[in-house]
Amino acid sequence: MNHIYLIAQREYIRTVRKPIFWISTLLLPTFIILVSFVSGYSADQAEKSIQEEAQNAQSILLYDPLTFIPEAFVIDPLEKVQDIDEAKSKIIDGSADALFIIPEDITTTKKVEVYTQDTGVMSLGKFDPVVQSLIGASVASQLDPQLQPLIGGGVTIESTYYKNGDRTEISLEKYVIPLAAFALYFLLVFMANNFLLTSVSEEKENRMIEIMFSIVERKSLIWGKIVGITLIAFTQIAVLVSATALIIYFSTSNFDIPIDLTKIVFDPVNISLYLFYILSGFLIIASVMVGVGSVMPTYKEAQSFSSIFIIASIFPMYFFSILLQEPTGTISQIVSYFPLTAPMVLAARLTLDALTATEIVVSSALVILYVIGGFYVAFKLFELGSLEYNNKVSFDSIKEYLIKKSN
Amino acid sequence: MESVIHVKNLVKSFGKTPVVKDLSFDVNKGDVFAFLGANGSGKTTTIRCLLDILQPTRGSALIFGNKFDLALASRIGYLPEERGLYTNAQVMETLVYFAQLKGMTTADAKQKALKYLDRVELSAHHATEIKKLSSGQQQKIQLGITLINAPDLLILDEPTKGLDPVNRSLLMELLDELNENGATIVFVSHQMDEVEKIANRLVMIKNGSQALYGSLQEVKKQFGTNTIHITYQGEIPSNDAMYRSSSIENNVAELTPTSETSTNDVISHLIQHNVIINDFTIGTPSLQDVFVKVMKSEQY
Repeated sequence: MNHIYLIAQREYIRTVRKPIFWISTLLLPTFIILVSFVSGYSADQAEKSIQEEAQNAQSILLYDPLTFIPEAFVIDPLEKVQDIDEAKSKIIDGSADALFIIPEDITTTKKVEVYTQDTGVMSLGKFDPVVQSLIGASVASQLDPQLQPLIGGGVTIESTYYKNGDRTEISLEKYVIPLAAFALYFLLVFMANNFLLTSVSEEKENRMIEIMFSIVERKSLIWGKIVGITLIAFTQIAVLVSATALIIYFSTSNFDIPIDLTKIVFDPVNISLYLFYILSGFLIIASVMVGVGSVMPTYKEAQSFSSIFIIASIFPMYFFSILLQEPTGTISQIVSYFPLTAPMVLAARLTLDALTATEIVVSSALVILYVIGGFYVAFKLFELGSLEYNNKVSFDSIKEYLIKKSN
Repeated sequence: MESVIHVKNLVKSFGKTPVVKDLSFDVNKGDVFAFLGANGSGKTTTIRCLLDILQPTRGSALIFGNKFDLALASRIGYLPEERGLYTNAQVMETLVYFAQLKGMTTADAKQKALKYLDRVELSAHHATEIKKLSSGQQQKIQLGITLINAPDLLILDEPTKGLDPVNRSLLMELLDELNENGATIVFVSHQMDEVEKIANRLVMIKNGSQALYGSLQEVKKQFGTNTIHITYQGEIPSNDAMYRSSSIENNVAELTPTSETSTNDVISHLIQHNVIINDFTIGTPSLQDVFVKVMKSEQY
């Protein structure tokens, strides 16, 4: 235990005193902004797709007692209803896609109610453009100057969502914890693990590994590094959180935060699951880094080889919109059980309420097995490759070693 | 004699290739023990088996009577052949870090590190980054990592490799001091003159098997001749039943006793014949000669 502490302490101190550590930590927000621009295209595509989905709705009910919407506009899939309770029950049982309620006093309240299905975060405001264009067209056809303020977003839309017969809440506050979890995930899984790869490779390149083996258990050496690097990641998180808090504090006068922080939901079960997925994702990639760092003779070679695994692990990012729209679809299911992608996809599906209790239990057990299996192989590779100073360990020797060891 | 290292029928193979073959030897307490052999003969592999860095295929390799355990790390100092340093770290912090890993308290580690740096004339560099030191100075730090815990057993794989004569001499002094203080030293070297200076016992291996083993004198004696080199005055008969003469000129002679006579018989015989003997030596080869003979011979 003392060895793990000493190694962790050394890893931490030697990293945080490097200027490059602080530069990379502070450059991270810039990188995130750049990535946001890149992913903006994907978001646009997703938005278009959602609008198409709204336009493709089979049945939209309209409760409009004063016929604010002219009869000429009430065409399929729009259908006028008289009984508001019956209409709501159709939304609840899923036989209609949406119900628009145009109140009698719309000119004063400037408010329309929408009842619809909760199909995940992407269903938030799904019918808003439809309602706005319907109101806009109706006002334009009536040539009444008093109605002009209702055009161009002048109407507030209050949406109520149902899922499996129950009313649900879709609010941005719900996504604060998941977003924080994803930020933590990326910091730990990708940045911290890069430090781990550097550390394992340098130990070998510096020819310190053999002296270490005569003093410290191999597992202690690796765990010491992992603990140290986790602390480094937490330092980065603390710096980033502080920086964000400072920015918010100094810009509150000009910056209207669209999130009510008091409404953030701290669900202990979900938070535990996020922490589990973050930790397991970190450990799975950590095992890959230990293995790659062990079998490659130099850091440079280890880094290029490890990029294959990093690309594989961020693979779900490339079809994130599909994941959002079909969180229980085939692709989502497949990547939920692939070792490198499982923790990230499972966390995403948890956010979208697309994981059943059984799936949570089965996938968690599987993820634990991936972590154990990953470290079993990583430690074997460390045993096999850590003293190979000049050559890559061949796939054949790895296969032979693993088979021999497991027999 | 208390055995500090006991190697018995040690075999280590990599795949189907045997690297160490049925090797046995003991290192006794207080020995300065040389572990000799050509490059690739299995010396480093044997040391790695001793320190449990590699698992022996067969046989046993014991230290202080037990299979190596990290609990013994505080009693052992190991300087591997492939060695380096954390080049971005400072001198003092490196020494203290390894001392702590070997179980010393921070205060004790700092004290011992300063003492060592003073001994090797590097105290002015205690806060210097290692990459800024010369290679000789870096080697002193590597040795410091090995010695800082004042180990009972030192295992040094080519400790003088790359050292200049001054640092080599300093290292020899340090090893002498440690040995006088009771440390057992096992070292690998290709410098036979160094071995002759400091080792009292040795094992020489060839292709993974033991070729020679014993005290320095015993080993050299096996390769010794009984040729007598004499500086004399008078007249030595060139043909005599007591010996064969290979050269007699300028008052220097080389005489080899026959199978029926000894060196004593020959010396006595010459004195009886009024030959005045100014000086004589009985031929023993250098360790370098022994090493070359063993490596070239097919007998081993």
